[in-house]
Amino acid sequence: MLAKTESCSVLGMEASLIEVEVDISNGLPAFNIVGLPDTAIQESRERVRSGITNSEFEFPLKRITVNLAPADLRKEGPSFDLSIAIGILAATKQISREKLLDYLFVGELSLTGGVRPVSGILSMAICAKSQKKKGFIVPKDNANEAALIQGLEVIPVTSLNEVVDFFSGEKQIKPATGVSLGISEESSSIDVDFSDIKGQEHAKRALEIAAAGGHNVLMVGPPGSGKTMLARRMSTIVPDMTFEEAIEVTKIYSVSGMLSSKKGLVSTRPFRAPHHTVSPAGLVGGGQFPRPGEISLSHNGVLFLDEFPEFSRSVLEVLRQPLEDGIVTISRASSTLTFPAKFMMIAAMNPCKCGYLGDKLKECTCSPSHIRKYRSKISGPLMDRIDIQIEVPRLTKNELIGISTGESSKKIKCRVQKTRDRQRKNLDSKNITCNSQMSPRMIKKYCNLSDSAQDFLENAIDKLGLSGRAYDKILKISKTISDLDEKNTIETEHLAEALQYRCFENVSNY
Amino acid sequence: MEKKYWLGLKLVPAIDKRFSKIINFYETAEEVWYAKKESFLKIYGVSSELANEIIKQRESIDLDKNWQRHKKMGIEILTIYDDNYPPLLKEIPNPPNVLFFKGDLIEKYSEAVAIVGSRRATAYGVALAEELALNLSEAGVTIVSGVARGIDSSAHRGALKDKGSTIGVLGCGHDVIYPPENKRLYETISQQGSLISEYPIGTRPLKWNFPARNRIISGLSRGVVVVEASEKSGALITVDFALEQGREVFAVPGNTKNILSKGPHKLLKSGACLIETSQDILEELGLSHLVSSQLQTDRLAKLNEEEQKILACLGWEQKYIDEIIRDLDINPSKTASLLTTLEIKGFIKQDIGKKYLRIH
Repeated sequence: MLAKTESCSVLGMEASLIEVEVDISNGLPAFNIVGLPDTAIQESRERVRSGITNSEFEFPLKRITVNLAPADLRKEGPSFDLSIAIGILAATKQISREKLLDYLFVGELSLTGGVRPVSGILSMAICAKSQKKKGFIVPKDNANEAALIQGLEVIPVTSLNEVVDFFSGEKQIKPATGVSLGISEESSSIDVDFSDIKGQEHAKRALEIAAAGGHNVLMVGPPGSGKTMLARRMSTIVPDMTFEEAIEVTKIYSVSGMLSSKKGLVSTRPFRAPHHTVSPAGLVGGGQFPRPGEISLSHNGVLFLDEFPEFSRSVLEVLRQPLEDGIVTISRASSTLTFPAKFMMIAAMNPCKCGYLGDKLKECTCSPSHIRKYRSKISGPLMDRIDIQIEVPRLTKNELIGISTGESSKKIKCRVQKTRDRQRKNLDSKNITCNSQMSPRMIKKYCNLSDSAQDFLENAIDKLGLSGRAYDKILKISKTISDLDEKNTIETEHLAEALQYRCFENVSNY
Repeated sequence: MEKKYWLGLKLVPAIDKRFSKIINFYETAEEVWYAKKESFLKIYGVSSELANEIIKQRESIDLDKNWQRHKKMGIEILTIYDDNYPPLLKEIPNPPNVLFFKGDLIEKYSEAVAIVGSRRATAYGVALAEELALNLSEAGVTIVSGVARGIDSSAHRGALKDKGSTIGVLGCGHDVIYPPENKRLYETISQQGSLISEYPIGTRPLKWNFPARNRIISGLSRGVVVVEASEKSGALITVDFALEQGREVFAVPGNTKNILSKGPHKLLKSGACLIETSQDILEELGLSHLVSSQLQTDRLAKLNEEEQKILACLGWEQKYIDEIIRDLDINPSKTASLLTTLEIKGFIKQDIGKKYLRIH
């Protein structure tokens, strides 16, 4: 006897429809799964067998063959358990077969017959919607996530019995409803704030500009100057995500299995801080079935790389292409996948090997060649992608006691939000949401200098010895500063401020 | 051709030990080059071992090839018997017998002052050495220094800024560039001034060469200015030579808390002349008729009120940008833009760690 159910499989970010065919025929009792299953699916035989018997259904002592079609697509993970079990029950007529094909089934079975959550639900829900399915049977813990997709009946279930009762009409299950973008409560509960940081007015201002324009930042300073503290507070001033952005981020977290069951939607911008021992695959993504790496996990958010020069050279260089394109394409033997990776990079490093170059309190013990060697760990092309460089000095004891704290994150965020909205309106382009993403052509189009600013810039190039690559960066930052100032043209003062955030390359005298 | 044999004598380390004695015994360098062992033994103080060594080493040298190499690199040879040997240098107790030089003839230079100091100078020292060198060279004084890192390099740069003349004294052969990052500076000095060394090509920058070089630095100069130096700095060796040679010693005071002020302050305590501007040096050397160009005070008047406030706040010590923001209580964005403007106008200089220093 043959029965058919439908389920979903996630590869990369996208889910595709999988037909689960169950055939039960006479012969020696056997249970085979075909259609390129991985180990987790092979093991699903045991879970399904126990799940069915422990739910007090009958497990047929016959020859059972399960086919996962299309057969050439590699499948992984335990999410087919539920659809296989339902298929067996349908083939043995223990469940009503009427509406089975209106629904997609996803879920892992426990030996008791309970349904456990799986990863990648959001992508699957999008797939269900595009396949014009009426509903989606999901584990209860995944319901909030699936319900983000409007126009889909999301049925949360906790056990195999519930599913059978639902289809027999014995039990009504209320479809889960979508959660709204409840950001405010959550972000206010974060217990870090910019006002925690004393002094560092210059660095704070630079981070405000960076947040407003989405610029990448490099912080240079001796140990204990507060670089990490500043970076951690970055997530409190970046503007809120739009719903579309939140969906993108949730999808990534969903396929990585990093979504907590309660939230359903990732509503705050991600902040990721991988340790410097991270591997290239860990950073950009990889694996036999490629999974998103740290840069994709920080999509639409902040990627913080502390101790920048300590990252291995190969790890840093793989960042170059994603920083430029906002996506990363991973090719493996089995497949080629693309993950989104539009993130803001914040890097922190010491000024030299010993850490105290330019410090007031402690003398640096590095020779010029050591300093140059240390700095050269960050390659030129990577430096090109960093718009803002700031120096974070260490405060003396007296300063720590004497200085009052600055503005709260809330106030800064308000200004940043306003500027972002302004940029989105000005840049009238679909692919670009902030100034840092402008191409050289767009810089020409949107960065209008006033006459005096033009003169000033020419003078500055001469006097300060600016390189061509610095030129574009300066214009982008000045544009953000003028946006913060709510002006349409870039004035001299904006340009002059932007020049303070340029890379200070002149270490030759020391 | 005589010069060729002088080069030959410099290439034989064994001769170097009794150089004056040997050269005075003979008429010409050529004679020394071809002298027999018996003839060497007639010289008082030359043992038979030394004579053997001289002959052995002499035979291993390809003089023609070496001579060609020097010619090719544009290196001239000046001996102590030449008329254009710097007269001041000739006076010192142990003058170099042979000088290898590149660039202009040294006799062109009138009055020279040496500026020396730490290799690990601060931005203050670097800016000050540059300013002193610039002002002195504007007054027509030649700047002598050792082309090392830090103060030395800044002194040369300052002198070269306004096409002034400068002499770089090396502690190695002309073919070695030490420190390597000074390659450009080497080239500019050999074009606009001159580079001299008492060592032939192929001599590496060995550490005992540098004290010997320092005696030439002070020997060429009327006075030695110490800008920044720690207590054990090589600059103080130059000062010792200067005192021995009867030259003036000048010292520029610095921040008392800085280790690099220890050297100059020690000199000041023992009676060195305190220097604030280049004018002080000129007066002390009796050269005040060579008027150094004045600071352009009227340039200050062109700055707007806020810019002047920042300059006043900076004073003459280094300050972090955050300290300026706090002291003046203007917002960070305004401060940043004012600082850039002042930097472009050339009043202040940025140092590592976003520290600012007033230079004019």
